[in-house]
Amino acid sequence: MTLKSQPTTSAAALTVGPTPLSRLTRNLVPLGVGVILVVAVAVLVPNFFQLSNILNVGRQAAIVGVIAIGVTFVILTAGIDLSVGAILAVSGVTMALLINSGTPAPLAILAALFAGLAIGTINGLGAAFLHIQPFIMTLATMVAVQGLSLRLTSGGPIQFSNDDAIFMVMGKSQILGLPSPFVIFVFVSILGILALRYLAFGRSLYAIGGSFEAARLSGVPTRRTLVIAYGISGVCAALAGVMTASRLGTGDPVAGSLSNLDAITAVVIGGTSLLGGRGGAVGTVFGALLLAVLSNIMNLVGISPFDQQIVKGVVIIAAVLITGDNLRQILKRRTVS
Amino acid sequence: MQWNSKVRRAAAVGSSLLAAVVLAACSTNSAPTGSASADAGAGKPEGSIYCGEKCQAQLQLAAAPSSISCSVGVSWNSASHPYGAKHTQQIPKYAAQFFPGMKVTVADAQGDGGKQSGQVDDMIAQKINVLVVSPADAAGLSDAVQRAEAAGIKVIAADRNVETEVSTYIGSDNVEAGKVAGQALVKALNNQGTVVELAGSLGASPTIDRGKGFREALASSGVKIIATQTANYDHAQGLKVMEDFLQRFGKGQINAVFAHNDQMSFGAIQAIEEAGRADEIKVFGIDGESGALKDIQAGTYTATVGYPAVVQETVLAAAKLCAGESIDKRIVLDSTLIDKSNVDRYLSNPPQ
Repeated sequence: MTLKSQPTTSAAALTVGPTPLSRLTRNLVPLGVGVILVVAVAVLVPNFFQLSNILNVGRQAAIVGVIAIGVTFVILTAGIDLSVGAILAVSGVTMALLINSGTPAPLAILAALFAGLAIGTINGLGAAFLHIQPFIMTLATMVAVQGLSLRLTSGGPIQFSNDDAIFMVMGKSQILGLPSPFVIFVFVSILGILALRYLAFGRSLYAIGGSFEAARLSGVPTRRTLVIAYGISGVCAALAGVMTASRLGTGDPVAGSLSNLDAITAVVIGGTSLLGGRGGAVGTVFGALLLAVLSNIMNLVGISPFDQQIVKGVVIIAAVLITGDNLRQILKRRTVS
Repeated sequence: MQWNSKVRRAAAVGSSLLAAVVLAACSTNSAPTGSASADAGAGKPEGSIYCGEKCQAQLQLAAAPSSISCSVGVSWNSASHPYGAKHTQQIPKYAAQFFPGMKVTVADAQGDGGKQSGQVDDMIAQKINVLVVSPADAAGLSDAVQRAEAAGIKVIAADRNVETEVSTYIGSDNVEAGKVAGQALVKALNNQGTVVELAGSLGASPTIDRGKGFREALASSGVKIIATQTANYDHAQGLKVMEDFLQRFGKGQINAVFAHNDQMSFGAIQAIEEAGRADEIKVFGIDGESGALKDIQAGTYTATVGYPAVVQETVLAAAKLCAGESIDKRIVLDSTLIDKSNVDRYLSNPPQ
């Protein structure tokens, strides 16, 4: 444990002054918060730093993490995607039903991912071409898709045999000693970080989030970019659905009912502004890890189920205050006046 | 952004038309798609195998099934969980099979007490003869139920009771289910050891009652609850919470798990197997889904307590009320302990 060096780094990052934080330090802040928390816990929770538990937390962060990476694309455009939990459920259900009807596993997985892409694209078309507020558009698809899952399954979970090698990779096995869902999460995160930082498409998302009109006038293909962003969010949610179903051997129509909120929380804790234009996937990765670590620690310490919710709420507010602009704005105003 | 209003209006009309078509396509094709009922197919209408002798006697129908002619409204708290889905789909099926003269309409309250109250009012306006309710909110639905009774409608509370007088309540007892599970657990551990509890959704009445019954059974025993945590009746969350418990308590520190439903048990079983500790931890649950019974037969799941569906019993009670027969105020189904010794008897006809 780097008890000495790490807290100083994060303490430096915490001294927010009127000068804007660079992108690097912005990303370091959630990391710093995570490190402080983790170090405090190392002293208080003896079981936390066992290798088996670290791997356990990595695996638990993977599902929300993969969804949150996709949602980051949408939130950067000042949009929102409430339908990701419903997409998670419908993709798992689709896969389970196809497997049970004799479809080969890789095809079933592709079909599930395609379902997510299709629903995400519908979200994007509604937001970009019909000018429906993303909140309402994705709320509507959320409700409709929840109904679709229930309809496909008649309301009950669909069991299927998940012994196929590809399901092991998706949910149950280990890759290089790491839980495979965690490896997938890392892989998706890297793709997300690279796309946002180096692709023209990624930069367009920031431009749209900064000012839709300015982006359009400067030649950014705004509508197409929006549709792709929602499509990515849909595919990521569907991938999370495939991972969940592969691990459990079940397609559950009510799975992931709260994962949309967890994913959005992870994105915002990670420093991406709901107003769009600022943030990125690196912060989201740490946001997702922070949520998983928090929940794991509370179970390890044995905090009562009621108190866990209170603690979670308080930690979210604290994390957002630290990673967002709120504190900085307040300090700035104080200094000026 | 720069669209003129005509284009925008056309797009709006177009999309709402599309939505309407999609909705219509969905609603015209609403034949129940539930799996064929294992209960159905018997020669004459009677309670399920989880309806004991007293329960069967209480539901004895004097009138001939063919003479039943009436209209029954079913208002269920939610069709979005398997138990609710089963009842909203199977009650009309079972009624159609044995009582051709019984007309059944079903409304899904989608977990919303206010919506359910409105649905009951609609049914009163349609002049139904018998109302079956399974309330989303026991206190909130009392007024609507009283309005129905004032309009001369007989009311059956199914699975969940309402906080006002009804013709009959049919259900299985959650406190009893928790108690039976607890007693079996104490016995299996030879009256000493430790148990972790995976609780259902916080504040929900089945969670409170199942936990209460379980604690009653453990009170005078040497078995201690060393941790309790909610997993919201959810398979994936059961897995996650159990993973954390296995990290918190090392080898040999947990002797048993009590989960408030089978779904959470499935998650716990997977976590235990992945940790390689299946030989030291016994798993107990409640509900009796068919998957649970298969796991019990396979030896991976220690025991579950049946929390039976009340499809047949509800239809029979409705038939009795239609025929003007008297009925007992409270009809309770058995909380059957299903373990390896007796699972074969129930496999073809699981509680849920």
